[in-house]
Amino acid sequence: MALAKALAANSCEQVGTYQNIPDVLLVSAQHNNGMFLFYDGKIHRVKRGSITGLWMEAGLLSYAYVYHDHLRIGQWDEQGEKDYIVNTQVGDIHDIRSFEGELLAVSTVTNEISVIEKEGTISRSTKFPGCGDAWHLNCLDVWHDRLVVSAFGVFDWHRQWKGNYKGQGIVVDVGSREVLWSGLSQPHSPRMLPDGSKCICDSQAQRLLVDRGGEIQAVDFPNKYPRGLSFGAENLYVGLSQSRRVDMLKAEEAKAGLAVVARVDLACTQFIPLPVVEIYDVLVLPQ
Amino acid sequence: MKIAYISPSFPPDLDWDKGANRAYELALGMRDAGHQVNVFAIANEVSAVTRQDGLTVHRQLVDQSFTTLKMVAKTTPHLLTMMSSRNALWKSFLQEHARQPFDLVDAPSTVWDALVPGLPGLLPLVVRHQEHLSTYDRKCFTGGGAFDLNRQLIDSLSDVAFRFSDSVYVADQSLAQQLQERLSVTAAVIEEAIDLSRFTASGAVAFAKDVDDRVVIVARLQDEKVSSLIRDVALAVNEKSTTTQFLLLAEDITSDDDEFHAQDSFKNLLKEPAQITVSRAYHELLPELLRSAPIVFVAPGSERLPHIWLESMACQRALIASGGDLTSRYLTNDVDSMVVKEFDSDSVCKTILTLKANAELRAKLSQQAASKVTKNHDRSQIVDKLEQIYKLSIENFSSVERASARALAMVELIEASKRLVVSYDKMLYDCLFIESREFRLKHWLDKLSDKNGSSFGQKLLGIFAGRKQ
Repeated sequence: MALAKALAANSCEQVGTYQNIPDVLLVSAQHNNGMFLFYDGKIHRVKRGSITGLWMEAGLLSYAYVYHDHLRIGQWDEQGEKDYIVNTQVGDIHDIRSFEGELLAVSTVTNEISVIEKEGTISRSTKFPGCGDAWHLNCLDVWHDRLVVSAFGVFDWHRQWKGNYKGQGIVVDVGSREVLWSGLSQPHSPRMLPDGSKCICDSQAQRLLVDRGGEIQAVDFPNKYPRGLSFGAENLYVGLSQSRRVDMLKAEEAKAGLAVVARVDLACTQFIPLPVVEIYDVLVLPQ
Repeated sequence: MKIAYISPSFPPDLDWDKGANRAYELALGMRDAGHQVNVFAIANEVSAVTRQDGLTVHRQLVDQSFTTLKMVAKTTPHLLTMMSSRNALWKSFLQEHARQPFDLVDAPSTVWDALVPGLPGLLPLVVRHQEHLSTYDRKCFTGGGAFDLNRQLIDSLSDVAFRFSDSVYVADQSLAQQLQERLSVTAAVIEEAIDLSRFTASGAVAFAKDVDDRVVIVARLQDEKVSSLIRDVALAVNEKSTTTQFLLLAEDITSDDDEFHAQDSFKNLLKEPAQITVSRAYHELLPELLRSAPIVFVAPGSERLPHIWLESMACQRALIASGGDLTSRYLTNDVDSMVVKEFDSDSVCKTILTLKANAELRAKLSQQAASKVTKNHDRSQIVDKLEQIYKLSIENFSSVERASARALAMVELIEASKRLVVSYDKMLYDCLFIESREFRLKHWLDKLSDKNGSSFGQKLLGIFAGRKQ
């Protein structure tokens, strides 16, 4: 847990405490709310900025900032802040992850998934049909060795999904374009558990869906927008945002937070509030 | 070559302004030509070395301790800029140069304090002459100094920079002539560059529906005068043609919320089915956005001038530009674009309707425009020219002539420093004995404004102004 210690040592502020969570967690948030670390019973804000996708591999934490006109990925290892990678050919980055030894970024505004090199260049991109932010590609995962991405739907034009997203959302195989899950509403955070169960935040429908061998169970989160999902040995951790477009004047009253859901029976056992309106990603750090 | 670019603002941090855009395009062009490029810029949020687009970008935060100096900020803001930002930039550059020497440094003429005495002999210095301050500089100089002398000092030291440099280049012939006449400095012309592999006539088109009956407007929407112009233009066009759709690319909108509110402010403005769609001017999506209509109107004050004109032209759009200082340098009215009077909504409306009705005219303009851009502004060709200037500067750097020229320039610097002391003395004298009452009044009113909100100070100023009249 050298990285968690290094992050905690760089705490901007302590924003709360928690109990009965066996895992060390990171939670990212937009609107300059940064990144929160759940470690040793304390919740620290460890970074500011509008952060979306989180990824950890071989002791190196990567986190994406969401900027409309470029990609920016920060990196942190146990020695502290390590590097920033910037690219101006893509933007509005919603998620990052490593796949087959390459760092991938979802460039939502250009409707593509790009391979990002250490020098900040793009070596390859998988462009989806349509122009601009047509599909609203967002979160990545790997299901049975296949790279998958969630999207608001198959559309032709920039933001055609606006007002037209109910039941249009999909999880799609990036390589073959095969639709693996459909009928969703603004889906985010596809995750496959070690037992082969597939999970998806059906965000606009305010629920988490868990597919266990074809049997789909829903965990409802009334008046919340579930987005950001990770898992430990016992629990699923679900980011719950305030419904989108909350009046910013009332933002202080809004409570986003983290729901703890038992993997065994999908019972929601805890809700831990965070001082933010929206959460984007949740990541359990390997111990 | 291992090249260092100095550019106080460099995209994507801060803005995509003229100077920053120029440095960005040239640095990327040099990268494409196989050179190792480092950029030294002011950081927006944190000091960091970033790997950007195959470049190494060293971003340095300004020294915040200087910004609390009250008198310096009010009397000599340029000095504050130098102390807080330029020192940071040059320190960062010199540290990197000590670690891994560069072959050449390319700096804008506005960074006049580049001439710390040791620098000119250290490595070849190429100056790119910029007539406009960068966004960062503009912010620093906002409100101006209490004295005009401030400006004179900057100009005087900027002139010294030209004499120290191994080469100077400018964006167009008229600037080169000015330098020749004023300082007998010979400058090469390196035109503004755009990446023609991105900005082409063909390719995917965002907002593909009804593309033929659409007008793209590029503007800084938070400028009230510009916003009002756009409303007037849209309403006037809508009176004559209710089918014309508008796509407004707002350069100064950077968040979902601002975009949402901006969109809301145009709700129900036009007779249906016409409507205005507001979008951020996504840099990475710009070719698609520009291609999504046959007509592009660039409103006055666009932050990306002249690049946005050239980019629209490369996409073979019929460009409507607002007349101003730069138009004559890049555009020929009625040949490759239509140049209209600034803030004249009637004129913009008439031009849009004329272009809508006349496909032949649109085609003629857009073809001429694309041909002009391809001939003069292709990044890969421009970089070839710049590469030659760099090579020559490196070759000549060690020559006896350059050593002699640098020594003479140093003599001029000594003379300039004398002028600087005299100027500073005059400025202090003016401050203490000539303008002191007015200066003090302004100082205390500013202080009151800070405490009580701007309206109180403004009211008082209004009263004093009234009495004066």
